[in-house]
Amino acid sequence: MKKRRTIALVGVGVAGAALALSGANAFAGQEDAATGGGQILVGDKGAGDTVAFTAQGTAEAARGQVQYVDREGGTGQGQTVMHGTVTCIDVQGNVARIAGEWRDGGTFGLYVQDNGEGDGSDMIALTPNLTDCAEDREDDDPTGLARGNAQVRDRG
Amino acid sequence: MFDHRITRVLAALVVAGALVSCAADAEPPASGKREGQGKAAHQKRADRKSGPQHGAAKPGHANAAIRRGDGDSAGTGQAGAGATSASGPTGAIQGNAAAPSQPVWTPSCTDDTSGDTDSSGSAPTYADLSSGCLRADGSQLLLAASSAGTVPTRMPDQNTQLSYGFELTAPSGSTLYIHAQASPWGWATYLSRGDGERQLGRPAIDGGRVVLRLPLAELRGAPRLQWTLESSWLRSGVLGTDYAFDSAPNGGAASFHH
Repeated sequence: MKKRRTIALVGVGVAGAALALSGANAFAGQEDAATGGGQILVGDKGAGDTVAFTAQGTAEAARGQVQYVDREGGTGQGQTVMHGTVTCIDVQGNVARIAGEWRDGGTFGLYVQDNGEGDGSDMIALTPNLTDCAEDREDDDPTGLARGNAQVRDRG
Repeated sequence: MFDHRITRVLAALVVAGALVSCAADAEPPASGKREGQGKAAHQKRADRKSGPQHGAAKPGHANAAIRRGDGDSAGTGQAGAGATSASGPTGAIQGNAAAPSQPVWTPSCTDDTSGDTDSSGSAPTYADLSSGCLRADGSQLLLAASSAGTVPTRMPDQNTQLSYGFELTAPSGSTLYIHAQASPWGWATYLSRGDGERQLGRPAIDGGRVVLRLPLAELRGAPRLQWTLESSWLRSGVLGTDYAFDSAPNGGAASFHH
């Protein structure tokens, strides 16, 4: 049984309003696309783990990046920055399922739910060890909630 | 009279030798012409800044990085002292002697559209890529990422991250990822083949350009590579997370081969 550690990030109203997408061609073309970022709220460590991503393509092939800052080590140089590349994206309505590979090994999945700009309830869930955008993610067990914002475009 | 003729002949040989030497120095390096053009101003700034900027780096690598920076801009015709004294003559000798046995890599550059980042909030201009270039220099592969803004020597705080990464894919399909990453403590370069990563030396920062170095041996004999360049910037703030991503070329990949 593979180990899953899922991180969920839920946007709040102020954050959603502050994070307006400004990319010139964030959703160029007719492919499904998603972009966003958010961070986990933690107790006394200050800013929590942070994730940002951009993805564009189809369930068969996609391109994009994911950057994840793991602050489990607390403040200082203990934090780890992980870079990932996107291999697939599947968008249904306002939900995007993204999968990819970490540059230094391993895979991940992103579940993104866009509930509207400024609405404050966008969700981003990062799950290790996923390789397929169609993989069942009902077992995901979010371990943290945070502010974040996401944009999902269903062009399929 | 006989001695006078010998003197004339020797003088002619000396003049001819000097002309050949000048021609060799004036010949542009193998770097892409477009890469060199427009970089003169940056290079002049780098010449002024190189001392304190690289002072924080490991001594050996810092010197090498400075030479690489000068070498890159030598194509502009303003070959600096470092380029002529260090890489100029050495490169000529290596080129002649190694031609039969060592491959000659063709420099490869790609431009990127300005203002095409996927971003939120107030993303900095240095996250916006303008071009990327690969070229060989002796036993090293130089990977240069140029951005629309001046690249900082360090991030302002630990909540801000910046990275420029090159993905190199061999015909076999194996992928090598080398990226430079900035933090409040400066820059570092990392190399990964998908099974962990190891740290290399610091990249050279030159105005809006970051130059990474990788031993050509790391290519493991691949005759050609498909490559892409990407940048990522991320800042965690009180009100949310700002980010910016860019890549070049915008579609497909560039080719680097010999």
